[in-house]
Amino acid sequence: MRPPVTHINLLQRTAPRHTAAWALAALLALSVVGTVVYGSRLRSQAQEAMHRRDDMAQQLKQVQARLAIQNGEQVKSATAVALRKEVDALQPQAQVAQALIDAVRNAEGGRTDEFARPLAAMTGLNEPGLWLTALTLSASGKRLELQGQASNGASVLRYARRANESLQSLTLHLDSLELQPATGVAAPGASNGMVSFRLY
Amino acid sequence: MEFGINRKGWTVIDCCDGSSLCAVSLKTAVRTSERPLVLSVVEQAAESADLDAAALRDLMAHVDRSLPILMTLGRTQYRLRVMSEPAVPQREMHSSLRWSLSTEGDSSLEEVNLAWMRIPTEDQLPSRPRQLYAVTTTKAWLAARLAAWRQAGVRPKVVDIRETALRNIAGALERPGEGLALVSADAEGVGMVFTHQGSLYLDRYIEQPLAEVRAADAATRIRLHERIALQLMRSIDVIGRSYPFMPVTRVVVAPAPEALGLLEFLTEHLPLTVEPLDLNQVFDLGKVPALAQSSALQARCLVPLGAALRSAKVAA
Repeated sequence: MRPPVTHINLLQRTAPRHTAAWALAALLALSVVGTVVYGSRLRSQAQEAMHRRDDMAQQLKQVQARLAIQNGEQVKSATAVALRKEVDALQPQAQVAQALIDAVRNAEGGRTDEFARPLAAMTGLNEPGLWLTALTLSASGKRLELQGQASNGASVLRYARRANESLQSLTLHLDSLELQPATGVAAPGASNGMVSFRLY
Repeated sequence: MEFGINRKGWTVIDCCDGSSLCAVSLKTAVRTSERPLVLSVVEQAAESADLDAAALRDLMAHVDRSLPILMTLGRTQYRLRVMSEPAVPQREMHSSLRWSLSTEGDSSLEEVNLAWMRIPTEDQLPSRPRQLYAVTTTKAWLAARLAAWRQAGVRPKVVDIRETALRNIAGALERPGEGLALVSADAEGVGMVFTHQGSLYLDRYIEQPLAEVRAADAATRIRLHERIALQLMRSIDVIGRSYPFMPVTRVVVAPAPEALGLLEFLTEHLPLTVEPLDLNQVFDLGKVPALAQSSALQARCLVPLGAALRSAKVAA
């Protein structure tokens, strides 16, 4: 392999070089340019950060407004849920009332006077955890029979005692009681000790 | 030192030989197996070859202006000398050479342009003091020439010398391991360059105006030829003693402006192989039939052609 050959060129710089001065000037120029570039970049970054901050504040406001709306809706919806629960709780009683109405309509060929007084006496009684499912008047109003359900047997006994007190003026008396574990629809909140009863 | 590097080629203008301008465009970007392609050659007479801007402008119309321009100087316009290489780091070489030259007293530090190239002996003769070629030209003169060239629309990227142009041709003709002598004649004299591995090791120039040889009778002409042969043999002897690693066994004689019998004389009297230079060995002359057919034009264009080989890849 042949070594590289040196070539001649007499065309050279004619002006003095001032290398150090040029180097310093270049360094200064570079520093100035660098500072300007860095400063402008810093300024743009600061502006960008401010814009981001404003955007975030705007977004925060929107989220807060949305949350307020949602809270209101949640309150409304909580009220609706509570109402719904109350409605559901009242549903068995409404069914019982409907059953009573149906029973009344069907009872004894529409002799309402004989039926009205014992019914008024019975509906005046209120025993928590007990409700009637049937009321039967027979023997021309001389015999009354009540059927219903209760959360426990003690309620039935208390109801029977109070019913006899109310029926005393009507010369009616309930002296027989049949109790058995309930198999029908249970009232909301009722325990497993539900019983159905027949009082006559 | 290596200004104006390019791989495409060069347009070389030699305006300093006699009273004619010569320009060649050479494409060096060729395949490895191909020779550099001579695109154009033009020689033009000029009353004052140095500063004839109109002739120079006219010359440029006939060459490839897309290639970078290289100018070659005449022998009287620069000084080439061998110096001891200062024992300084490479980066301080230029300053050190300037200082050495200024102490010789022929020029001040700031008045000359300086270029240099080593005479490589460090591999073959590591204990021998290193030497180099230093080339100087007067800065003011070169500035004036550059201004004149610019007025003619010529903006050279390189200013080169004749010895390195001839060295490039000799380097292209070398066989591996040999030292080669290239003898070339121009209007003012006969030059010799001795090369090895493409580098210049020795140069000689015998001032012998062509007009004198032309006018001489047969006996005088033989004496003139003997003078050249003697100088050649002495130079080969110097080479043998100074650079024993490059035996010169072959002398190549370049085409002369006129056939005055130098080649025949040397072939007959030298105990070495003497060959005529065939430019077809170095260049592809297919596009310039005028050059291929004219020895006189080849002699005139030898320096610009050699200078244009600057970026050519030469096989080892």
